[in-house]
Formats: sequence, structure tokens, C-alpha cells
Amino acid sequence: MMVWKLLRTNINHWQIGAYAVANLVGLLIVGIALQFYRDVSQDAGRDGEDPFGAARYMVVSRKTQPSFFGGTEQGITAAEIGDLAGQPWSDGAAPFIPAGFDVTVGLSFGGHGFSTALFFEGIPEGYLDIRPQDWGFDPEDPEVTIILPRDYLALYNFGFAPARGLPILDETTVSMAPLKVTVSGNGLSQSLPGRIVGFSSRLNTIAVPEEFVRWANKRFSPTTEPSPNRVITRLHDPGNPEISRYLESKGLEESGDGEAQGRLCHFLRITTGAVMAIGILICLLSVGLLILSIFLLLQKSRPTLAGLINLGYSPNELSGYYIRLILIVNLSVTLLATTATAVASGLWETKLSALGMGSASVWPTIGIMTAAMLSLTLLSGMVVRRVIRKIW
Amino acid sequence: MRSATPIILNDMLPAVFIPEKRLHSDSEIWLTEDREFLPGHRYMIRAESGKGKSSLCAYLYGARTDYAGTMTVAGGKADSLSKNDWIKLRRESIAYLPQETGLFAPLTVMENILLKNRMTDCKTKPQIMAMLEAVGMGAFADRPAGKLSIGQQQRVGLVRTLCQPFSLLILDEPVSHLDDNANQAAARLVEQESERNNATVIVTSVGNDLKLPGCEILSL
Repeated sequence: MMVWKLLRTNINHWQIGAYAVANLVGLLIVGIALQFYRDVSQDAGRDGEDPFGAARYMVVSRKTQPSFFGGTEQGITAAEIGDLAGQPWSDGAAPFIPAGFDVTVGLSFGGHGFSTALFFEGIPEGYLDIRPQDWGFDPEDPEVTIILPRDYLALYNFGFAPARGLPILDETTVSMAPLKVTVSGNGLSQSLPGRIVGFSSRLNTIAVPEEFVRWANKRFSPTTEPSPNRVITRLHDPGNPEISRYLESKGLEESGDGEAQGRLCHFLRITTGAVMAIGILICLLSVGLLILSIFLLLQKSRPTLAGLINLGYSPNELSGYYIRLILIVNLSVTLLATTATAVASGLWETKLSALGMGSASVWPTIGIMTAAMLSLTLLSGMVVRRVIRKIW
Repeated sequence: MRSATPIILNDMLPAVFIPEKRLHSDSEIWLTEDREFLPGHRYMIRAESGKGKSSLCAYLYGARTDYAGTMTVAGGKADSLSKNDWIKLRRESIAYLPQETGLFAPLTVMENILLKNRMTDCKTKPQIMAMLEAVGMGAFADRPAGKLSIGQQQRVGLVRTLCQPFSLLILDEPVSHLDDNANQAAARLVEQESERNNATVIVTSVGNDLKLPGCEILSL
């Protein structure tokens, strides 16, 4: 008590305040950038979608060449698929199985009905972003399960339905509608019951089970196995700039907005990385400020400390007073910064999820921030002890 | 430091004196073989200034080690003692009043003393007050130490030094700024406390001796 009263007289409150503010700003920037980076890297966390974090998917097709002669080979060969799957940023690739037959889907409610010609692609199961319960095809009990792009429903709801005075549909309602799928080709025709079992935000196609397409191709297609036009790839490094270079060199392109999203993701990573670096720099500067303040303070207090050591106080005991002060300041800085980070991440969470990005737990970020402050506190503690021990 | 073990200095000399060694050939302490300070004895070390009085005190207190030769304290070589050993000795065995008293100007007289006393709780507050009264400083207990005259600071410093258990009491020119009466009062207090602790007493002087009876006089 008395010792602290004595040591306190040399403490400059402005110095401590400046350190606390600098450190708070630095830590806050690091924390917010880190959390933002983790949120952005997180895969969309919507219900039923792939929960396995950062993996992303890319749909690749041959670059469209204007063709006046028809029948130009636009397909992607099995060798190309193998090569794609073998790239370092790729985690495997599988083709969309094209349907070599005509499809008409009819829907009737009440007395009204309409039907439209559609196309199907067979999607290998491992690449779906949703896991509908009845997905699959059994020739003994044929029912065509269909996954629609989420955009199609939005298109209908916001464009088509209001203009025609039709009801707005939600996903559940649509899933309950009984469909009649008419498959024809090769001089044959067959009607099967169909059902929309889910909506995908990843696939820009009308997806049906691979087994169904293979089965139908055998029966209705003139060529049993048309070569695929589109390939889906699982990426473990979606921001890698190598990807677009590779596609360019192979005459391929990424379909849909996947590439844009990948670029956005890449850009966000670079930005948050830069912000984080600035935060770390500010933190380091504030550490410098702290160490400098400690040196100044101990220099100023040197006669007092020497006097106390002469009275029989141990240098470590005296260090304790300063370390306690640093601990209190750092603890408050940590508390403030982590709380602010958690609050901030809550603020952008809704906006990010509207963009289809998920949110990562804030705890690892808080853990990292606390660990950083802990090591900083330990470092300054060691500096204090060294300096005071030298006063003897 | 057990009171039973003497302090022995062997061929000791402050490092700065080594080039002019012969100037210290008359010394009864520097460069002597087996200079002993016996338990319970009192020594008055007289010297002109610049002969190394304060250095000797600092060596005995473990505050400095810039000397040639050897010094035995607490039954062992001084240079083999760790800082922790010295801290323990300073709290429980060696009491030291430096020449410049080392009082903290912003603290009051009482606070200055309690700062020392709280480490061992050797004295109660009334006992401290009685000691202050004995050297005529009772009325100044709540005065900031920085507002006292040098002579007053010496008396407060002395009381503070005595607020711990000790087997060795080192007083570096404790009465250089005191008049005869105050010197007398200080000497009585030192005698009383050193007898209670059965301690060795080493006092230095440049001419104004502490009036402590029974001192062996050594010239440095």
C-alpha cells in the first residue's frame, strides 16, 4: 500500500492512457479483421448445406464458340476431367451427366395445367450442396427427384408470378406439387411422376439423380453416353489465382457467378489480411510504446526503487507492483477489445449471410486476442523484472 | 547472520584504491589480515572523507562488490551469497543507516518508518512513537520527510533503521548534523536497541562521533 503510494508518484497517467488507447485500437483492428476473415472464409451456413467449412465448388464448361455448322464438339473429355481433378487446388471433379433425350415437365393444379420443355443434368451425389431425403432413382419404382436452382424460384416469385397474377410460392409449397415428367427420344416416350425435392444455391442447372439420367439415356438416347458439357470441381483453395489461369489455358470457363464469388473471396482475404497486418503493426507499436514507457518510468523511479531495495525489499516484489498495473491495463484492454469484436461481428453477420456467407464462432478469435495479450503481458513483465533487478 | 559468527575481512581494498595501494598502508581495516568484527562488540571507524567509509558499509550490506580481497559474513564468503540471501539478511540480520538516510520525501515520517517495519512487524506503532520521542522527533510523525532538516532526517533514519531484528548494525555517519544533546539521545537509543538484539555495532565518523560507550576505535 505504502510502497505503491510511493511508486505511483512517478507514474504518468497520460503515458499509460496513451498506451492503453494505442493497444486497444491495435487489438481491435486485429480482432475485427481476424473475425471478418474467418467469417468470410466460412462456407454458407444455410440449413442443409455443406457444413464442412471452407470447401467451395466450381462449375466448369468449355468456352462457348459461335458455331455455324452445329455439332461442334463442346464436351469435356474424361482425360480433361482427370487433369482437373489432379490440380493442386482441386479436391476432385465429376461431370454433370447430360441427358440425351427430350424432357417435358407438366404440372396441373385444379383443372389448370401447363407443361414446358426442360433439360436435365445428372449430378453426382457427392457434389450436391443439399441432401434431400428421397434423392436417388429406382427403375422398379420410378420417381424423378429434381433439384432446382434457388434463383429459378426467385425469378418466378419476383418476376413471373406478380406479372401474371399467380400466387407467390415458397419452397415447401413447390416441393408438394406433383409433376409429370415425360421423357422421349429414340422413338419411345414414357411418363413418370416427378417431385421437386430441394433448391440449390450452388448448382445452376436442373439437377436429377445420376442414376436416372444413365437409365434414361440407355433407353431414350440415340447415343447412350453423350459427353458431358459441364464439370463440377470441389476446391480447397477457392481464392487461388492459379485457377483462372488454368481454365484460360485449357479453353474452359467457370459458369455462373462462382468465379466472381471466388474473386470476391480472394479480394476480401487480401483486404482483411492487409487490415490485420496494420492492426498487428499498431499493436507492435503500442508494445514499443509500453516498453519505452516502462523504461522511462523505471528510470524516473530508479532512486525510489534503489531506496526500497536498500530497505530490504526484493526486486521481484517491487516488479510485482508494476506487473500488477500492466496486468490491470492489459486485462481491461482485452475485455474491451474482445467485447467490441463480438459486437461488431454480430453487426455484419446478417449482411454477410444475405450474401450467402456464413459466420464463424467468435470464440477462437477471442482466444487468439487473449493469447496475444497474455504473451504481451508476459513480455512486459519480463522486461520490468530485468530492469528492476539491474538496479541493485 | 547468526550473532555467534564474526565478520572477517581479509586483505580487503576498494577496487578504486588499488592503484594507490600504499596510501592505505596505515589503515587498521583495509589490506589487513583477518580483521574481525566480533559478535556483540562495538566499533567506531574514524577516517577523513574519501577513505572508503561508505564503501565499507555498502560492502557489509551487500550493496556493492567492487573490492579486492575477501569478506566472510554469516559463516561464508560474501561473494557466494545470492541476492536472495542478501534480501533475507537485510530483513532479519543487518540493519543499515546510509549517510544520506534514504528517506522518501513524499511520505510522512511515520510512513517512512512503517515502510521498513511492515516487512518484519518488529515494532508496534506505540513503540515507534516512543523511539521518535526518545530522539525528540515525536511531534513530527505526520510531517512529510522532505520537509525536515538534515539533522531531523538523520534521527528519523536512525529510528527507521532500528525497526527490524538485527545482529549487525551499520551506522554511516549517523550524527554528522546533530548537536550534542541529540547525539546523546541517539546514542542512548542505539545502545538500548543493540543490547536488546545483542548485536555488533559498526559506526563511522569523520570527527563527530556518536557518543556510544564501549567502542573499539579503528582508523580506516
